[in-house]
Amino acid sequence: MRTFLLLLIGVLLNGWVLDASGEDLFLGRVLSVDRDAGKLSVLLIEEVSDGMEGEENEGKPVEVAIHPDRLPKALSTGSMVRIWGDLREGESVLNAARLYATGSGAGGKDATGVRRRIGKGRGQYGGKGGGKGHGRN
Amino acid sequence: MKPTASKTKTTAVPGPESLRRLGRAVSMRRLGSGLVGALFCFLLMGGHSGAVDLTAELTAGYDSNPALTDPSEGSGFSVYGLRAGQPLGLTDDLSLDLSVEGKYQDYWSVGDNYRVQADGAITYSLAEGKFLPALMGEVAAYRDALIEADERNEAMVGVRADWIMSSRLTLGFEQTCRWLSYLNWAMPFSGKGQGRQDAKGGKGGKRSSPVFRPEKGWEPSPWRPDSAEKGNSPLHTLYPPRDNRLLATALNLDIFILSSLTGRVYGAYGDLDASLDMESYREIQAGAALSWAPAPEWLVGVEAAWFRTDYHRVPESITRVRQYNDIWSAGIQVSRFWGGFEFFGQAGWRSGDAPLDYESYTQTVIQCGLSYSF
Repeated sequence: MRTFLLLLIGVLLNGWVLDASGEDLFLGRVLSVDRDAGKLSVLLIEEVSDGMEGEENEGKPVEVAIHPDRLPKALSTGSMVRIWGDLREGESVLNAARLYATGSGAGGKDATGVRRRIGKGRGQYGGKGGGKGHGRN
Repeated sequence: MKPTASKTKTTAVPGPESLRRLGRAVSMRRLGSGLVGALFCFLLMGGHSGAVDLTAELTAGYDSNPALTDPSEGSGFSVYGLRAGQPLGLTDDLSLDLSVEGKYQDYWSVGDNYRVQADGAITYSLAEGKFLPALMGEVAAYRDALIEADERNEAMVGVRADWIMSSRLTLGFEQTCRWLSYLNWAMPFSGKGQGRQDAKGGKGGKRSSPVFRPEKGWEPSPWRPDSAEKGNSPLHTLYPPRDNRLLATALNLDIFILSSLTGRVYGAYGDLDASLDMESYREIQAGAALSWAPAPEWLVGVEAAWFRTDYHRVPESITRVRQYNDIWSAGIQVSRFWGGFEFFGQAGWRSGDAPLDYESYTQTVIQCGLSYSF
């Protein structure tokens, strides 16, 4: 168990060296959303390309195209989003493979219930529950 | 569902106690069904508003040790869950999230439990959305026919702040204060995973199992009726319903590793101030979770966690009570999505010490289910 936990932490802290997807990671703020078309207008704040931080597109509004089914529910004007995608030089459309709203993705809101089911509600203090039972539950 | 009477076979001849338990089980089921029904009505009404996020969930599985005891008594189970959430954007920088949630766990051969809760959080956006402080609140009711000593009402207030450090990292901080108001008289350490087995003589914890047979060489637990410590020992005295307060501080770091791989590491510290002094504890927790999406329709989640609990107010005169306890847990879940539907399979494992020299437990839970969000 201890080995498993340490292995998980090791993967988390070193995982980005394995990045071979070719997709870049963008951080931006939503200016407008068209859910039916799967299109957003986003003001880019930060960009990580090939593992290096870049400034080429920072401060630019870009149009983001994504499959409508992959749009998070909790998304509105002003939301911060992380976008994995491809923005080619000279193009204004960012083709997104995945998009995470603030507080989701890495488990912030446990959108799929993975942690809740695995922990059976025991959970960490930084989430639901905690201190169950006279000692625990 | 099976007839309720099938769950109340702990005594061969019905007596006042078994009749009381039977009546309680029936009323629990009625109340649980009523709550689920009320939530469902709320969901239907909310569904017409078009702005409420609704999720219904149905799960079935097997729990090798619902009471977290040793020896264990396993049971199949089904879970019915409903949740309604309402995000409201008050201004460009201020948002309010409200939700109500109910979950009924129907164990097929031991007592059921359910939890109903309502949550609220008001979040303000600072630093162009990179810093998000929030005020949180929650009220909840938990009822458990298996471990009656755990039945309680809860209220929580707290603050949370998320700091988006970079495109890859978000740091979260949370400080909460939770009041736990228990409903039943109970002997010390009667909660789930506490190791107490002598349920007779009050709501001392898990119902006694008629199939329990000590193995050769097994030393009697101090909770056993034949224990030399039984009598005037504080461990065998019923105490009034507890009124506890839990302060908790948590830190978490969310890491966006690859487009298909995200993770979280977290740590927490909890300090329980119990109205029965000896049950107070301090607890630290550490854990890590990974989510891997190999394809848009698939999601694999793994998590491992460790807890250490220090019962620092156990009187020195009470022997055989272990003051430091460790718990390890791990789990994996595989999900497949079809539009608003999620089909999932999950396996979880937990191993822990109860606050006794004699008791420790393991638990394995296997389950699969269907969740629908709309």
